[in-house]
Amino acid sequence: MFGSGLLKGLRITGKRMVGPTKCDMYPYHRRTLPTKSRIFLAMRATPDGKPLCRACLTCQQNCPDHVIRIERDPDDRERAVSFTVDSGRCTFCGLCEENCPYDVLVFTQDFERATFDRDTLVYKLIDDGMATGACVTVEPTDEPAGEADADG
Amino acid sequence: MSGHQFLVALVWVLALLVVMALNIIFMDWYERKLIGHIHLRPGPMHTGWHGLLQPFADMLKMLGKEDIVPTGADKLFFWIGPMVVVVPLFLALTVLPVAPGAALADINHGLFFVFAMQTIVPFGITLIGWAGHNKWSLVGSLRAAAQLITYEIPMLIAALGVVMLAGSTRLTDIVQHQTVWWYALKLPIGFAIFFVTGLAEMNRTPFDLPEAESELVAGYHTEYSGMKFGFAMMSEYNSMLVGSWLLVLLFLGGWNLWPLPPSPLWVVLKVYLVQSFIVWIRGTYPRMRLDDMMEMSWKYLIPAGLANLLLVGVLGTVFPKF
Repeated sequence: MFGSGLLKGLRITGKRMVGPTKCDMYPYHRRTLPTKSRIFLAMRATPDGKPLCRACLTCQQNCPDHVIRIERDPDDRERAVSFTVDSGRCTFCGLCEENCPYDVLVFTQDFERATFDRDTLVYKLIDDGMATGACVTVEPTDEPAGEADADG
Repeated sequence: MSGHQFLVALVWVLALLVVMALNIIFMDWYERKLIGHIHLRPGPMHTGWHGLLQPFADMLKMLGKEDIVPTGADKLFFWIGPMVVVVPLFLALTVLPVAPGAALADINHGLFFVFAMQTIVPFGITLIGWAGHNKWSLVGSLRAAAQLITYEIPMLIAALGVVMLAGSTRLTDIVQHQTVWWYALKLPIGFAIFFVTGLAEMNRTPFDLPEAESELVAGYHTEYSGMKFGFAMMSEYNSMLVGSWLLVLLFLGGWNLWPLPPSPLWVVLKVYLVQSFIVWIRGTYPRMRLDDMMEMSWKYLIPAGLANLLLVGVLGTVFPKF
């Protein structure tokens, strides 16, 4: 019938108007993220602030967007002095995490990193050879981290 | 005019101003709530209980804003424009009754007075659009002029059917003729035409071309800020109030709700039901295209209105008690 579409539209919106809303009210109610969700890059570190990174540069070489920049210690080639992540360029492809031979790169569920300033999107995982607040602490194990995985 | 009459008139004017302000405050919140729920959002929630204080926060914000007059703007018209859209609608409120004879001035040509006042609004909108010195606002105001003048004709024709049946243009008399059978039931075509043209006169969706925010920034009041913008907003809610009040009086029986006794409460209830329906429509339909909209009035609504008028004439002659 002519005009029946108009009534159909009114019926749909009318139902929604009186029905419940489907809003999370975000800052007050936080939805628990799916356990597999991977949002921002972080690094594993020991409780005393030592990063587990071996400065092999695999992640830096694999990153398609040149997000990661690692500075090696000139005296110790297995120690990174700084590990910078420019998350403003990151496409969250996960190649760094996938290719890390020592499994020290992880994606955390922290997603509240919106800023007003591009510079604040660049953050350091290792600064001056020590892990920063952006790292994830892991309990130390007997064997060096990720060694078994790297071999296998 | 004696001192007593003057005092009564003064009280009426103050009461109407309060009604106008309360309506704006309530509708500002209510519309956002309804639209929000249609979008499955809760609408304003932060200020006050369920966002009830949001209109006051908005008002404070608007009062605190800088009053910017753009370079190249026509300063006189920029200043006059918002008043030209607010004052006539307030004047139209003065003749709208809530009970038999209960209006500031229950004049015998109340219906035509309301139409005359509504006709001034497009001038104000055109002034606002012209004064801003902005192509978007000019396009919006030209659309408003075309739209409002086009839709006034079928609106008047639809209202004429009611006048023919009631035999009076006094709004009280028109309502007194609808004690049991509302004119919406007797003249469904006229009612439909009046409602659609009313939407166009109020610049409401699907006829909100003058302020088409997706095409024209904010339409005719793009260049306005602060309380002048507030006046333009107020005029929108006022025209909604006047339009739906007129619709209630002409077609929905005013204070009659047979078999219940007549009461001013029914007027308020019906006015807000009509306004809710208008908001509901806003949340449902997309905006019409300009040529479609003009076509609808000239090609369909005016002939349908004339046919309705003819029908009313014939029925009124054949059945004098209709």
